[in-house]
Amino acid sequence: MMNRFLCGLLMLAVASTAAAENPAAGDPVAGRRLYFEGLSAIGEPIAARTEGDIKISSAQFSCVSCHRPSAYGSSEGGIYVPPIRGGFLFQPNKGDRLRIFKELYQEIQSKEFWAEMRDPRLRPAYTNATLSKAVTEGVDAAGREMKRTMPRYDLSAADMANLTAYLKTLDAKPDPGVMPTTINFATIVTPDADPDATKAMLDTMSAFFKWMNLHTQGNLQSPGFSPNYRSDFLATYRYWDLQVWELKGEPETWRGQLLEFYKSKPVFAVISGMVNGPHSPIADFCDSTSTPCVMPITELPQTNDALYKYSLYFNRGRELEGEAAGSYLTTTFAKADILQYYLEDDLGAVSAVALLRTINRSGARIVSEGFPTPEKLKEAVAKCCSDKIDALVIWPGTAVGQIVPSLDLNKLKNAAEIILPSDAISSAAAFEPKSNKRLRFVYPYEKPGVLHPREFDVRAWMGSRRLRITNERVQFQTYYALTLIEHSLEHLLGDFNREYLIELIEHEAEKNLNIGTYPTLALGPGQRFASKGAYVMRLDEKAEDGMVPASAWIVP
Amino acid sequence: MRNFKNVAASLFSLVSVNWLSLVPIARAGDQASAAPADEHHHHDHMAGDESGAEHDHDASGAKSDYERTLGAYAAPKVTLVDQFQRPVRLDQLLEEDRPLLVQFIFTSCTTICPVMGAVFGGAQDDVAALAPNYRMVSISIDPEYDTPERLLEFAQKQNARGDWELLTGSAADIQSVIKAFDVLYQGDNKMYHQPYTFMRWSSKNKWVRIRGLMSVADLTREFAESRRDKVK
Repeated sequence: MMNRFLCGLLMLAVASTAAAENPAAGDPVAGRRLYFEGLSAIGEPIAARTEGDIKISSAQFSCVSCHRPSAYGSSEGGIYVPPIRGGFLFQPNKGDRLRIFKELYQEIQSKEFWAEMRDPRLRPAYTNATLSKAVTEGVDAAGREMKRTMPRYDLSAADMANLTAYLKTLDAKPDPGVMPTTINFATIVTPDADPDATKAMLDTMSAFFKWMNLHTQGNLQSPGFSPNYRSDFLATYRYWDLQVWELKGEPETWRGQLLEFYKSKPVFAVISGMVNGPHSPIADFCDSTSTPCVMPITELPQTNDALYKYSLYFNRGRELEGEAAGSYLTTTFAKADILQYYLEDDLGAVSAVALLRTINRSGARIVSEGFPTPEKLKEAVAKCCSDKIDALVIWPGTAVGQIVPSLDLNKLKNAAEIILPSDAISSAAAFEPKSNKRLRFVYPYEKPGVLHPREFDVRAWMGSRRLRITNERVQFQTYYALTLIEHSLEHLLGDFNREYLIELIEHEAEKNLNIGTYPTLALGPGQRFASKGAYVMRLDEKAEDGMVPASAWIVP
Repeated sequence: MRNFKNVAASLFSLVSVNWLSLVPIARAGDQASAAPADEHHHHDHMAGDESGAEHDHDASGAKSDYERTLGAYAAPKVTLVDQFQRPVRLDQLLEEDRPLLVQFIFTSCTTICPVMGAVFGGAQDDVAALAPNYRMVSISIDPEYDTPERLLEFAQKQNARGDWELLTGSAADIQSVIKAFDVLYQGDNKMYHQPYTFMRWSSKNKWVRIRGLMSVADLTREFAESRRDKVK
């Protein structure tokens, strides 16, 4: 299958061959490297100046840092950075209100910024020569001096030709999955995903899609109803189409299955998803097809090398739980003495490795042992512990429902605290309040009793769609993923580019969309995990939801 | 439209005029536009007075576009962590009687923070020539992401010397610092932050608060001039 990335490379390769024949045409592959890494054709950074006299290097100030991977530009810190895709640069700028609508009206910017945006910046189409003047001297195609923040680069003619060649490969056409009247999305359900949670997610998505499409229908059926504003958007509206991609078999086969689904009907983005097992095969699919995969529900996200990739997550899942437990123990106990037992499945091992890493940095003492079966883990726990220790950490993995109720807390008296993962809380509810005082749970969610204003909106929305709330966390998280997409599509207004979608999500995730399942949800350029910490909780039968924090919010 | 409620009011007042026909408002930094006086937007909520700082043309010919105000700020008594994982009591750090330069940044920020980092980095020699005992402080406004390791990496990119502290901390502590220095960003979204730099020559001087990006020459001049305004 020819994916988008390969397609792009092929295009670059074709143009690259042309460049070899005609050096003045420039090499787009070298141009791409210059754009992303700031390296010249001979692999060196290029000297530049910003703000008049600050000497910088293109290795730190490459095009991508401000104009972003999409080359659609950005607005940050009151600075507007225009799009520089070839599809725009080599056309005259006649002032397209839609393209700066978000800067004009949707973003919460300073007065100076809004005033600046009302300067229409009309200019003729760039030529190779005027573009070179812009990059090296800071003079735009209309002869105006550009803002001082735009660096002036000491670029050679050859490097300039390469950069120009790369920019010319970037058109203004919509990405795959966007049809004239519809936009395709998918969600992913893995085998063995909890059926009730999956139904809760799919019901929420289906209600949201129906509601979105009713609005779109209303808008499209009454063109001209708002001549100065919303009617301008008609061409950008699309009906949302949802496919549910149900995977079968082992995780190793998931990527191949997804590529098949994608081949038969490409999607613009994957929204939410119920993932039981590692997300990495799915993340590989998302990266290899350049498809944004937005906020799947997973305990095992792809945490290695996640920066700037195509999967965006709520948090780092069980890895975060392991690290938070480690930070908690090293700050709670001086020279902590810790015993860690874990089930050697994906869930158990990820937390155990993360905890080990955190503890080993601290100088605390830890003995760590993994067990291949729940029975073996149970036996080991039953024998614990002949000497007094500060904490017994148990990562029961997928056997949580089997291991946790079997704990004999009276026999575990030598452990001052017993640390368990977040999903052990419901299994631990059966313990007597007297005996459960030493239990601690890593809890990477908002603590009970904190109200987030958005929660009321979401509840009201669900109530008025007669959507029963059967699994609040799953449904609220799904709703958040959906609103990130909705919000970002309203911001990109017809510029259907996937990298741009991700950039808008990064920009807007911190807005007031947090549904209250986490204290804060925020991203930044390249960031892929919206919530970054966890509480450690203890049980308290008198408290709301039967638990209270035993720690501050820990960001390991 | 559903989610545009918050801008509806501004829309009604603006869309009645074709926006393209609006007379462009003079932009500071735009070649042939704002007179220096236009660059200084008064902050009504500021306790300090407004100085008439002059912005010389620098070598590039383009004008600076920042505003300078004076004020009094009291750092909260919070313990932050620096790029070397050392705890730092912010109020004590900023009470030291030595020339201070403080800026607010975050490391994943793409457009303005690298410039802010580079201006501190590029000005180290000039600042040291004016005041060898200076202290630079960069405070992260994205503390949960900006670990000491990430701050150290940011510092190394700018060849930061020992007199430059980069600080992170708990979200609540950082929020209290943001409030104390009045660098709140809009919509509770750090992506709408503004470039803020503060300077104070000594405890006898007022804080100079600068909003906007500066050149090395701007920063050095403002730093030198921060000696001028004494607390009465």
